[in-house]
Amino acid sequence: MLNTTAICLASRLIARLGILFACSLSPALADSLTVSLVSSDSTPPFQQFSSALNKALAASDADVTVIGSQAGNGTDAGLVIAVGVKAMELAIAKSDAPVLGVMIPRMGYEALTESRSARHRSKAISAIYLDQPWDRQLSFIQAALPRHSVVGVLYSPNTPIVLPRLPQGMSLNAKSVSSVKTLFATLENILNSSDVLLVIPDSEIYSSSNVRNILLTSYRQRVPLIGVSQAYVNAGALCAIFSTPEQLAEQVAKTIISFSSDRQLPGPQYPESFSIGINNQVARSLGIEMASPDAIRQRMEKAGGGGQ
Amino acid sequence: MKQLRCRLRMSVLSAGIICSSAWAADYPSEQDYLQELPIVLSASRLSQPISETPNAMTVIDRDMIAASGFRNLSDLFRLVPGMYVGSYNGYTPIVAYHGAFDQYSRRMQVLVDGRSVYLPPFSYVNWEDIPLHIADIERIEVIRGTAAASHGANSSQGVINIITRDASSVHGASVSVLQGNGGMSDIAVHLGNTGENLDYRMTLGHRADDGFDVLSLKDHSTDRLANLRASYHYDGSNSLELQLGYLEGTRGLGIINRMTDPFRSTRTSSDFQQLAWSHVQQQGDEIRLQYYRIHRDFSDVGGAQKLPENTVADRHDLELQHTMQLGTDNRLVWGAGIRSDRADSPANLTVPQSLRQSRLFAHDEWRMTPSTVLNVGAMYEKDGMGHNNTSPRVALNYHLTPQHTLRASASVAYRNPAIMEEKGLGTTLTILPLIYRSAGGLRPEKALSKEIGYLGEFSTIGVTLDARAYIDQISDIIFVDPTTLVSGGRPYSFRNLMSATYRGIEGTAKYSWGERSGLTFSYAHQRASCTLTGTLTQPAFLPIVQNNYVDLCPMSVPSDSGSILITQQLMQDIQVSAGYYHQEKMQVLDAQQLQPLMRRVDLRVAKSFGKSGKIGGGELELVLQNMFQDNYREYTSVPSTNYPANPAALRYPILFERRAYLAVTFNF
Repeated sequence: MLNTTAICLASRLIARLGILFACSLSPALADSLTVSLVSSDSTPPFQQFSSALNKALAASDADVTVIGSQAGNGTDAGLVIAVGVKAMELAIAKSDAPVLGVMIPRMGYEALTESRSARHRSKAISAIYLDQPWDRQLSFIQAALPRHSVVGVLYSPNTPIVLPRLPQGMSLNAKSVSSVKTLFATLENILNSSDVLLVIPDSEIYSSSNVRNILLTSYRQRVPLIGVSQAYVNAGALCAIFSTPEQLAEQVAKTIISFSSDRQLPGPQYPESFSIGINNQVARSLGIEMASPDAIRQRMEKAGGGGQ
Repeated sequence: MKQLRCRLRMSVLSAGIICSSAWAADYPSEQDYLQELPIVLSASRLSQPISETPNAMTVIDRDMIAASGFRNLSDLFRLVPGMYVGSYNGYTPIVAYHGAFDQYSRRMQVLVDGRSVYLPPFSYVNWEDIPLHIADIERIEVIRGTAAASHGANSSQGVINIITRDASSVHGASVSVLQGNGGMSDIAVHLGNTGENLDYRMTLGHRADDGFDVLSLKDHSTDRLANLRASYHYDGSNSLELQLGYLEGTRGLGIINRMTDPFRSTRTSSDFQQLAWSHVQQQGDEIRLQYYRIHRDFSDVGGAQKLPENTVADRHDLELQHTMQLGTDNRLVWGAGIRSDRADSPANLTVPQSLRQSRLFAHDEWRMTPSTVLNVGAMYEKDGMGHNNTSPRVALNYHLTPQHTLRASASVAYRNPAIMEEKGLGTTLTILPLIYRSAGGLRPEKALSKEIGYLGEFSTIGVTLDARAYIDQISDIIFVDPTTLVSGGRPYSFRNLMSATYRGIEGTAKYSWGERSGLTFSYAHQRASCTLTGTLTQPAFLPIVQNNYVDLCPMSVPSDSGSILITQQLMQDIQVSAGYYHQEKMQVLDAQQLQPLMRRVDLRVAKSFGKSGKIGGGELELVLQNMFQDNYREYTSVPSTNYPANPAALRYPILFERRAYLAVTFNF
């Protein structure tokens, strides 16, 4: 199993060497930290992340230099920040420095760490996840939609869902979609028996053409959809809780600063700060009364569900 | 070398629920969270909640349609407070809001996916000729009140807005077969698929029944229909939608022993093509360009004293509509359209007639404060007969609390003269040289509607309420105007003769006590009064018009009417529903006879089997209509002779007797 995976990963690396690199290559100073930033992509979220990170580090008085790099190799960087799964794969394989992954879903990170070859196992790696912890997600639903107690979830069988104990009064209606063909029958079924549909990201179920039909179907059945990004909210989801690249960059900057003094990476963690997006037009049309994002945040704090 | 997939098995520690097995996919990547998405629920897709609509509205959804057990589209309107549903014969229903003057009920706009099916030359709706299967309906919005500002010409007393199932809403295939007494025999196949860019659904259907009366009416009918809806999503912001429909029917017509109306067979065919392009802009605004064409061809072979008749109607309509979200508090819809109607009916019109109409409309929904919504709109139209009408509407909805809303609205709408009323010239009988001889020069009928409404939601006990009181005034009502006595008949012209005032209260209460279990109660109390405001061509006919029509006008609405639909889910797979329909005595003005009290109880029992929506699943249903055999008389009774008119002639009542059918639907 491991061998197959390693071959797989190697071939992915070859295929994906077209990776962003930017700015200067300055030699590291003795006591300062050089951070190599590897990015999977150059689309807006990645650019927002890197500029926010540079800004946050510049604002601090820590002696940290950020350099762009292809894979975190070939420099004497003390830490590699790998943005996205592809960058993380590459950094693990190519760099000798500790690697901090960011904008990586927890499942993706765990799969990566599981699959890395024995040679790389000793390397210090950690991550700041992109997704929200389950208890925060559920606490959000409860705070935003107190009357919607049955949460429908569609998942594909190889995207495991691990849930904490459900908050009181909430129940989960999870159905597995065995193939794209049965997706809509399963969806109808789940919408019939749920108060709200929660998106669990999965490229097979929530491909952009499927998202269109899932949104239309759930709207027809008057079951609101809870997305995972502002894009979902704009597309027609009722609301979403997510962390922006800027918020993640803040947290990464803090981690880098602390690493520069003790050269220790903390364990993988979820994003500390998050944003709440609400589509008021959809709420109105569905006849759902929504509190303001601030009020929802306060309710979450009160309930102690990770609303900090 | 695009994708080499790594199948990973993940071990998961669980504190709660674990779901795991194997279906090929990459492990989750940030792209699942960062993907860009098209705006799906654009401003025009989002319907107003009922508490914010500018008119009173009844929504009939799929669950209600199923629970009612109705087999015909027109019967569904029995669930709408204040709506009259009658039948001229087995395949010619009459649907009218605020009672009916005649079998045509011309004061209501009927739209199917935005396509007006209110057709020339008679300007009415041939309900059974619409190439639409009842199972393809997603929902029906019935606007009770004038709504020309948002729904176009002829929305003078109300609008029936039928929304069919989206192209993406049918997955797989199903067949349904229905058999019942009175010759009911239907079969339908529904197919559909949702793809990457292309979604479609398709229906093929056949339906037949013997009508009301095989002896005195022979109003049997056999229809075949095909319907297609496909949408192609070119990219995230552009999509094309195509709809096609075709229906052909063979129907019996005639009245026993009537030389002028001998038993014969008629043929009708009807088709439409509709193409719409929609473009969603960055901020969710939408531009939609729509074209449709409707063609209807009716032919009657005639016989004895009845001349052959062939009536062909064509409509082309092009409309551009722009929906804009202006800030968070304002949504504007504006647009323009042109329509060309053509009717060819030698027996009724002598020469083909065409009309070219154009319209400009705008409607704005402004949330003035979080609890106040102002809807303002207007339509300006040129009716093609020399009239320019402006139909404004203003409505204010005030939320006392989010659950309780008050609404006040006022609106104006016009009903344009029908081609037949303005240009009718001809005869359909061998014994009469002329039946129609329209003088022309008609003005549109004007409707002014004022109402106050209340909407309440008592969510803790599962109750919603919708009530309103209204005064509707219609002036310049176009009515038959018997002209000079010609040997053997009196050719009809039409004139703006009357005005009518309707006052009433009506409402709907819904109570839900469980999953798919609940009760919907609708009630309407209404009164009508009419006055003669025009002058007759032939004053000698004044007593007839006064006695038979103007004085009878209060009878054209039932004083009280209503319905109760109860649905109860039993166990997982059985649903029982019962409908009660009540209508006090009334008379459609041209019926010549009173329609007595109607009390009808329908019952439906349905059992689903297999997995719903999946292969091998389906449903079995038994429906009993008028189960207590409380046979009520429809619309009128037919006299055995009508030329010359003889009040003492023997009359055959058209009775709605008990009907039962069994239907099975199977997914394959």
